[in-house]
Amino acid sequence: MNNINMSFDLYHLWQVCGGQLILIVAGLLLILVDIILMEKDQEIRGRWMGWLTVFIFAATIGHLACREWDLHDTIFMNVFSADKYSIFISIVMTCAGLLAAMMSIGYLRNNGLVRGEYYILLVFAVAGAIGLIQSVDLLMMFITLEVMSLAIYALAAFLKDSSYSQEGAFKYFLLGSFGSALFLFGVAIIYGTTGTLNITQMAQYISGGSYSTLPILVAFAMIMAGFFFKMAMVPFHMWTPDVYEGAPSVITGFMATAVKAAAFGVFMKVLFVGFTPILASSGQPDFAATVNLSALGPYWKPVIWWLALLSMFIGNLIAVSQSNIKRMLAYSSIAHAGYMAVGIIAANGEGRMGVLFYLFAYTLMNIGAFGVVYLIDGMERKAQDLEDYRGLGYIYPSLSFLLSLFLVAMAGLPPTAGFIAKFYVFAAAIKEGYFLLAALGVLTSVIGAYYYLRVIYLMYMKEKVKDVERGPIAAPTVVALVIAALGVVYLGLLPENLASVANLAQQSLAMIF
Amino acid sequence: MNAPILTYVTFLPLLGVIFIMAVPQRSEAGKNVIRAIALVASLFTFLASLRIYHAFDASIGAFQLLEDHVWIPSYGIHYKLGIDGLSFWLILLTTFLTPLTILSTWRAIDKRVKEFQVALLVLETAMLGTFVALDLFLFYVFWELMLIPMYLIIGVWGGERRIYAAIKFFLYTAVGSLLMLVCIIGLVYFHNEHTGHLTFDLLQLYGTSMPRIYEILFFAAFALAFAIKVPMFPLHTWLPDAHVEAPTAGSVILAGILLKMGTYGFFRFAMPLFPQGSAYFAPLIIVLSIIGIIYGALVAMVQPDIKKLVAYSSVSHLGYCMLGLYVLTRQGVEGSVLQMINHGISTGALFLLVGIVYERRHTRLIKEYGGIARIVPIYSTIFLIVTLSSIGFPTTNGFIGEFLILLGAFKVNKIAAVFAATGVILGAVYMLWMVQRVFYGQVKNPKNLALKDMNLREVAYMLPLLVLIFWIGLYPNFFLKKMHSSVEHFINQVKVEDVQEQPHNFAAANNILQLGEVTVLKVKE
Amino acid sequence: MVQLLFFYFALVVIGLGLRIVTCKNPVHSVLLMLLLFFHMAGLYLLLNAEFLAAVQVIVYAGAILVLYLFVLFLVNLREEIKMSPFVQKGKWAGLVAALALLITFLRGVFNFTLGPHGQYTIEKVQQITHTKAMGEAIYTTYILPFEIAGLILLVAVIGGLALAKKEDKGA
Repeated sequence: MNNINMSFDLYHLWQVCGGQLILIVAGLLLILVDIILMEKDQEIRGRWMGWLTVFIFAATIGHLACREWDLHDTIFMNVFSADKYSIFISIVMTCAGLLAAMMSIGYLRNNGLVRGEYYILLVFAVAGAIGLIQSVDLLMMFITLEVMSLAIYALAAFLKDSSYSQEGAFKYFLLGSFGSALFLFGVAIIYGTTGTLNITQMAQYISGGSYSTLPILVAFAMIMAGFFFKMAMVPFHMWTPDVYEGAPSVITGFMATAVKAAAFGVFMKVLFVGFTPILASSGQPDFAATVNLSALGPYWKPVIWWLALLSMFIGNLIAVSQSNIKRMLAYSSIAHAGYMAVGIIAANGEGRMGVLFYLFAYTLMNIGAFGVVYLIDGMERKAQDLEDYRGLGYIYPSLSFLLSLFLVAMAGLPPTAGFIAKFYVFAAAIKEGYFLLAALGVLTSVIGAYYYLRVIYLMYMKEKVKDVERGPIAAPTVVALVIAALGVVYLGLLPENLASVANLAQQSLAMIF
Repeated sequence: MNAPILTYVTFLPLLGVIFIMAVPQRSEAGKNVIRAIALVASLFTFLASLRIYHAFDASIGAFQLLEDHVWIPSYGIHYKLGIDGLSFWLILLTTFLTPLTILSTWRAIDKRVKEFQVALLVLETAMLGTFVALDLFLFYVFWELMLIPMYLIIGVWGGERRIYAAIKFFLYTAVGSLLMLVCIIGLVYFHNEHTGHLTFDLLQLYGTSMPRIYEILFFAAFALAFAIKVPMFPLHTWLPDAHVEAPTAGSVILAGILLKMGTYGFFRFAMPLFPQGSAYFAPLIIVLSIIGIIYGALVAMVQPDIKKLVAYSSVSHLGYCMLGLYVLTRQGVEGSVLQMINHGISTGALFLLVGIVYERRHTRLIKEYGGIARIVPIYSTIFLIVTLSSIGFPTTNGFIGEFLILLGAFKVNKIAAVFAATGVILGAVYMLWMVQRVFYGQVKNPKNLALKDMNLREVAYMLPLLVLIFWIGLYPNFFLKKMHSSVEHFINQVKVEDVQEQPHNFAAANNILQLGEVTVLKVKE
Repeated sequence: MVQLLFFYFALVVIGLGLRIVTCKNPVHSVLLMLLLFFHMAGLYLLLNAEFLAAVQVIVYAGAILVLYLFVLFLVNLREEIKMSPFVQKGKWAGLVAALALLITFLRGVFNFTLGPHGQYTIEKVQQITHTKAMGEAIYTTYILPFEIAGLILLVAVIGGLALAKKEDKGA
């Protein structure tokens, strides 16, 4: 069966998955570098590894943005596609990796944890995430999902002296495997009924209309559950607080953004390419086919409607009663998953664009927030209680200001990226007539505003009760924080640039065939 | 179109913020420099806003001084500014009150001066932006932008229970405004469906046709957001807390300008966008306004705390504004607009005055004072004048506003007018009773003997307010003539049924006003 | 006959799976897993996948389990570490959820309709032998997933190393 088209062409591979290749090769090289630097001083070693990783991520972003962005509907060997949609999310995730790497240099030093493996795992996690988002083959999705997840399980457990870290990572591993198993089961059913693992071929099969709905729905539900685990949507959110609390702060920030972006991205890809394709196979709008293809809508829309609502409510409500800031942010991330899901329900171009914008904005503000959290912490778990933030506004004015900015952005107040992002997803939902969901959703964001602002009032309106000694501030962390802060404000004032890019990305989803 | 003057006015305070950021506040001198910069920035803003006065053409009912730039093209969101006869006065009120407020905080705020002045100036920009924005999205951005500085002003520099008050203020306002956002988007999509044109431009959205039920629903959401800000009767509970806990400057801004956001919102957005919904809810709103007038007055009467008393009097006064808007006659609406300005001046002045004694004695309880008229004569005189203005004594501004509103109400709904008129009497009762207890009688508390009278700075910032009180009271037409055509425009937009009034009635009423000799006899006509 | 065999293998696999998880002694667990792998191999045989069956026995049963045993002997795990369950209350909720999941599975399975076949039909596999068919599939169509699966192992090794290595706290 030596199909010519199937032959392995290295140049083509480089064209389509250049970003992944850079990261994988660089990851392998980093292992060597780590060995070479073995004899060197810890300090130097950590710095070298960190800066190299930063450079790798920057190069990857450059490659993705400049070269791969202009390629489109190029599919490599039926497993990877280099469409704008995937590249956009890849860039979001690599940005998350870049910011996390920059912060890690300071974080690892503060925590006396200078280990080369940390960066190697980070690089592989991003490589896996990019692979996940680029794949159009369900099997490939599973494999890359596991690459990403394994790296992150290990990263989450990186604080070996902390039982919280160990416990969190263990839970993450068990529940994550459970989620993966569900996903795999769904994939198996899909393979059985449609005879293919490729989501575009699957769409063609479904658009034929001659299938029995039930197995497809069961498979769909399984796949959805698998991804919802990673997205931390209610009711698959149980692991989130423990893992986010236990994991190293920078990794928590990375996990909350990159993994979420990967899961949301790939879920939308499976949903809108595989199950309810937005456009017909010609790549042109074909309304007769669309009717046939959107037949699954009545099944999944109510499900996500409820899950989005529950995520927003439960995430925000439980966050109110948290006393640990990382736990609070964990619940807030559940709520944010709910907001993003609102954009998915809308199932229109605006909604998808909104989700992409949201992912980018969320990456900036969340990693930024966790960056400040780790700086104030000094050493992990030294000052993570909300009570420790009392009066910090006058002791560390710039850090507090940055944290306030990120929290205000998460609360969705103008003029920040968070507001625009929420506006986009809710506008999309309202356009499709989901008034009730939008109204309830914005009400939950009032609850959200309450606990975000509580941190601000603790910082600015209370007198300090405890001396909090922040750790030394590393220069790259400052740079990362400033980038994130500027991004948050810039996107809040002039969102159009990113939004139009996201819109292009979203449109390319219709072209994957 | 010449210079974008509205943009200049709106963002001038932010320029001051940039300068303030550069000044360290360690030393006393640094603090003074910061205060001075803030004052200069706000004065410049005021001067710039006077340019608007010259540029504004009162004969045009529609919006003018328009500025229009594309902001977020994919959603049809524009950076669109423009003013009419209402926003014109509210802008002037804002730019006028802010420097006075900054002057008043010269000594009162000694902690975190820099942050305070920054918050105040950002707040000014947000408020001005809210008044000039003609794009719903832009309006919403400014509207929400007001929340954080005000939250901080109450929460950081406020009194004992400041955090409770700040959070209550924030949550109340946020709930209302977020629902409004949902409805703004809904409205835009209805418009889009109808015309195929996606835009947040207010002028284009006027007259969007949509199912009546949605119009009622949307109006309800808008009205909720604005009614919380006004505040209307059952939604007012955040106000006393916020006022009492806020520092003097916060109270002045809150009462003087922020509350006007609510009535302004009704005037600019809720009513003209959804005339059907507005008509549907009109009886309810009129009843709530009257309840607010009477309830506010009654509750004010029993307050032991001067500031709280003034806060509840705001509920009562704003009730008049709402009533005036809703009777939908020219007198009523103009009275309502004038009353917004009056309330900003009188209540702002009252809060400033309360702040002055509070600075000296650190108490606002009425029973702590008594008989201080002899000790602080200048203060007492000014307080009495402001009180008279607040209760609507003829020759002061309050009289003209309340009178016009009642006049308008009488024509439409006599019962409402009668009930509302009782508010005037009650207002006189609680204010004068308070004045009597504070200023007259024997000096019971020996601490009051050492009370210092107002110094030059304090007189300096009270004086402009006094001038305005009499200016409006004696020559209201100077103010009214700027809003005639806008108000007419507004009434035409909002009126659902056929116009009941004859044009010559308008003219007649107008003549009377111009002469400034309004007689009870004419009212009965 | 084939059906009967299938049910035998399938039921034993499920039963053993449960037993392995509930078994207190880790060594017993490993030994039971050996049995489980053999039954899995049987399932593969029923599918005409003799190569997979052989690999299953050689790699899993032969190599991996022996490694497991080595590790168990090395760490000398006697006392079982007791952990409180993640979700304390809600045994019943869990049961309900599990039942719902089971019903979903079963409904999916019973309404299952076989879709179009791929290029490797049973006849074809029998014709070109399973080993060759699988080799072809892995090294042509699925070469990339196959390679990337290697990455999983690499990441797992690095992760394992990072977590197991003794911390050199000095310097």
